[in-house]
Amino acid sequence: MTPQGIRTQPPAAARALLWLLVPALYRDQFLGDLQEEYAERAMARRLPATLWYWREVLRSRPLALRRQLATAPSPGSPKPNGRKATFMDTLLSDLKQGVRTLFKNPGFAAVAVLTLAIGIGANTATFSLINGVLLRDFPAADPHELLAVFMSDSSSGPYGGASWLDYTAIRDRSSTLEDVAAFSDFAPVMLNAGDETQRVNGALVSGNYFSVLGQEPHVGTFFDSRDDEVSGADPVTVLSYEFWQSAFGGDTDVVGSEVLVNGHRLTVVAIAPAGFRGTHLQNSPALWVPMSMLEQTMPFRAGRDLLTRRGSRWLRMVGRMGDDVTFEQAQAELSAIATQLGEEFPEVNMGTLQAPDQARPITAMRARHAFVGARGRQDAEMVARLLFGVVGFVLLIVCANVANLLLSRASDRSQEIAMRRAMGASRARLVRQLLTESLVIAFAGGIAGFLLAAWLRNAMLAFDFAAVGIDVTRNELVLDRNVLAFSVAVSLATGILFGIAPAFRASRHDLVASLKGSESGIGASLPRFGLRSFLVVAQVALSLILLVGAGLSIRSLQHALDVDPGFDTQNVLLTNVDLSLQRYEPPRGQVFYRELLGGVRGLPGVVSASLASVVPVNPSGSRTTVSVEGYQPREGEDMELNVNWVADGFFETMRIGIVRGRTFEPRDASGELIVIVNETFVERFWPDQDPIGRGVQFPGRETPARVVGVVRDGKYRSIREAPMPYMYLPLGPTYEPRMTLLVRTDGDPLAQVPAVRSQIGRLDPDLAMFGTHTLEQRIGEVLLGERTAAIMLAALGAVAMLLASVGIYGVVSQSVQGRTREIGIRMAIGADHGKVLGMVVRQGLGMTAVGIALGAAGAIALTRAAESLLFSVSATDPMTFGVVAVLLGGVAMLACFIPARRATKVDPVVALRYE
Amino acid sequence: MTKRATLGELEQLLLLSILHLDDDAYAKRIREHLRESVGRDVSLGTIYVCLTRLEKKGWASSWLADPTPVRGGRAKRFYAVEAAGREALQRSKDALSSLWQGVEIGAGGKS
Repeated sequence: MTPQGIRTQPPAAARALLWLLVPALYRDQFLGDLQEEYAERAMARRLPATLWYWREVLRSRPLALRRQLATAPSPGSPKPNGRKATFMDTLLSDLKQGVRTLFKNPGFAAVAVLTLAIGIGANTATFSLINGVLLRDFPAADPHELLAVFMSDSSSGPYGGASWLDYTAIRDRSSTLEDVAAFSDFAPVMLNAGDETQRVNGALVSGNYFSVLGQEPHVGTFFDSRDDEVSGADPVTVLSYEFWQSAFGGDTDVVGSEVLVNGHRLTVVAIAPAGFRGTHLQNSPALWVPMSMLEQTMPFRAGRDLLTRRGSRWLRMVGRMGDDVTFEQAQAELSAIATQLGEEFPEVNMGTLQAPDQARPITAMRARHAFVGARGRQDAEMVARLLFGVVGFVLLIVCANVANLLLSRASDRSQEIAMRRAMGASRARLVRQLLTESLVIAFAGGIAGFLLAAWLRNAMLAFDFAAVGIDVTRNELVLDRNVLAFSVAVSLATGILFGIAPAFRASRHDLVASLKGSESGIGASLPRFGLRSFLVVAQVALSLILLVGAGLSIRSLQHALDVDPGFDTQNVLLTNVDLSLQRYEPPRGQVFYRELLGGVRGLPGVVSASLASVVPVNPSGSRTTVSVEGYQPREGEDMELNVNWVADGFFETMRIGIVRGRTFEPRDASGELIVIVNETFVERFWPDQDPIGRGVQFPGRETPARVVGVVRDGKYRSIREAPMPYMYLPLGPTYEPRMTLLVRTDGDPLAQVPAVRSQIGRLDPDLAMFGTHTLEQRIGEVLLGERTAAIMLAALGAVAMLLASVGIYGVVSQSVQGRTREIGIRMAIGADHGKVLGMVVRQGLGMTAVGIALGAAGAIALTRAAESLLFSVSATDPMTFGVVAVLLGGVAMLACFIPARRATKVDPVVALRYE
Repeated sequence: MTKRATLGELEQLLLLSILHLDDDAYAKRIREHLRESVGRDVSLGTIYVCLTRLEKKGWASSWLADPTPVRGGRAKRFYAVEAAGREALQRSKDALSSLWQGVEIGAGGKS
């Protein structure tokens, strides 16, 4: 037998199951026999062997085996371990009992299991998302050895980039790090394979990149550290597995063939392993190119001396710690290297904004914490916390609800339990049995919840997470072992949580009263309902918090939707071109823009067209430091202002209103530099003055730009932002190779896509347009996160409210049933329907009121923490609180009213006889 | 039930398999033997239940052997047929042979 075969273990879960089911006496040989055959089968093929093993577990008819073997006096064989058998015996009989009681009471079982399925399903689905986004391992061999290494650039804090020379110094000097790789942030490249040109993400990486990350190619051979020494000498590239699949259908002949990257021929040497997305978990690159090909493949980066200037900090680094090196040792050495570099190159490596007289720090961070993308991770963590908070609340409500169900059932079962005690069952034994029953319910709910989560997963996959800053693919959003373990743990915890109080409560029953069945006499109502009322109060409180959250986010979304962005979002088509990828020189680019605008404006159905470097609402944008004529900035005042390069016709196409002066005209492309500013700009720098004709000094210009017009304020980076000063410069005096084309149409903007594409193709058949969508879609995407939160909170809030009202109904209705006699007497001595109705409803509304008060207090405490997520709504918005309280109160009233009406139907005569 | 209880079919099959396998008679091999020789796939649980019954009746005996790595460090239980078991088998065979005397199931008969 090969060592391989010996190591082959049957599935652990199946073995554990067998271990539990097969009596101790025969366990060894039974499992041994199966394992032996499994090993033989697994040698041939693993999966069929595993399936076979599971089938064997099912076929072992373990219970039958148990009963017959347990009685077998087996001469010469060791006695079974008595204590263990007893434990298993009890557990099995408790389990059996649990399953049996479930089946005996299908209505109860269905409600409990369904309720639990909602709670556990929501939690499992949420966890699967978190598992896929935040908990997945860094995609590398031995990820714990990997460190992200940061330099500091002067303003961005300790987690900045490094220059190529910094990088080589760190790589060569460090002894704690076995090797260090560098890589650029991803840049879009034009990839031409066959007839099709696509715009994809590309990454420039040092030659040792794949070896540092411990990757093995799916096909081919990676380039290595020899491949980044001589500029232009290594025209090779590695494709990502996913891109290879989508663009080439997984054809292995691609390896060794050539592709055109930004017009430059590169040979595909390897396909990266499936699932490898580079070091960032967002914006995965489709291809990797060695650093030596910088000039050839990244033309817009070329000519900036990126490999020779120590001050160009454009690279990220990842290092692999050697054996037996601790994080602290590595960090200490990196700090020492930082000091050396500071001394050697004081002009560039000395001093940051925070510490001007110290060497620029070098900071290490565990790779898995570093590379989700700092922003991406933050967003994802925030969303995760919020989600977990919300679904956690739902689970608590679910627990309270099921506990209530159990309590109500316990009073039905009080005779049975009293009987068991009378027959000699100890209290501990009873608690154990009742808890086992709860766990059976919890696991049934867990299974249903897991199925629900599987269904929810498909729903989640249909949702575009990328739009809310979460990058997760089909392969990562899986219900894997972690998720399964999570739902098992949640089920277990839930079972104990909702089961423990009812179990103790039930086992404490007064023997004599229960056996006599006279427990439901007058006055028995209140203390018995203490725990149940408490649970209902808790449910109401938790629902209120969820509903307030939902209300606030809906109001916030409403406000965001009502915001006037300052332009007309209807009927505008947006698409992008990147002339740098086709190596246009500025004059040629200007001609291209002019001809493109001319052609598009001539299309039938096009009202107007223009170009802009930034189209609002866009979280990114350009800022530049200016000085404003006649304005003395305060010390430390931020004079870096947003600027946008736009062609003539921009304000007309966006329908941004002109307040004073004029807009850009074609003649502005040449001649004196002019600028158009917005209202906030004027208010801040030239209040009560005429801005027309005044100057704004841009860096690198000899003369200031003259203001020729003032336009209305708008939203630029986000819908939620406060008004900010904004400047528009005409395209022409400056040249921008990447522009967005805006086309205002008189009908459906998307209908113009083919015509616009043919206009671009007419001018340059190799130029791709990308990122095509409408302005309305853009605004919709900006609010997608808010919309999702509102919908989700509202849905979960509704579920919570439904559960709470079921809880109220259950408690009130049972208390009515218990008080039938009392009500009968009251009615016999003259209480009318109204009084009885009032009495019952008061009981339910009392609980609701306490719940609402507690919930409001909790909501105020919790929503304050989420205030930053809200848009022009206060976290204590009285309107929201009021509406939610009234809504909840109304639903509670309804839930009380049904049993209350039944109470009024009580016939005094029948009630008095009722026992 | 008298002491001269007859053997069930599975009991016969198992006892014969044990005899066949001689000193390699443990449940897994017995199961394989049944599969190969008579084409019956009997579950391991059934086999153990029946073997236990045979032991209880004194027709077979068993002992534990040393654990082996291929079995995940678990021991094997070997089985042997006792004298009473051989007798029972013999009785069964005799009974069947005498019953078969003069019976002919034609090839063209009902199947």
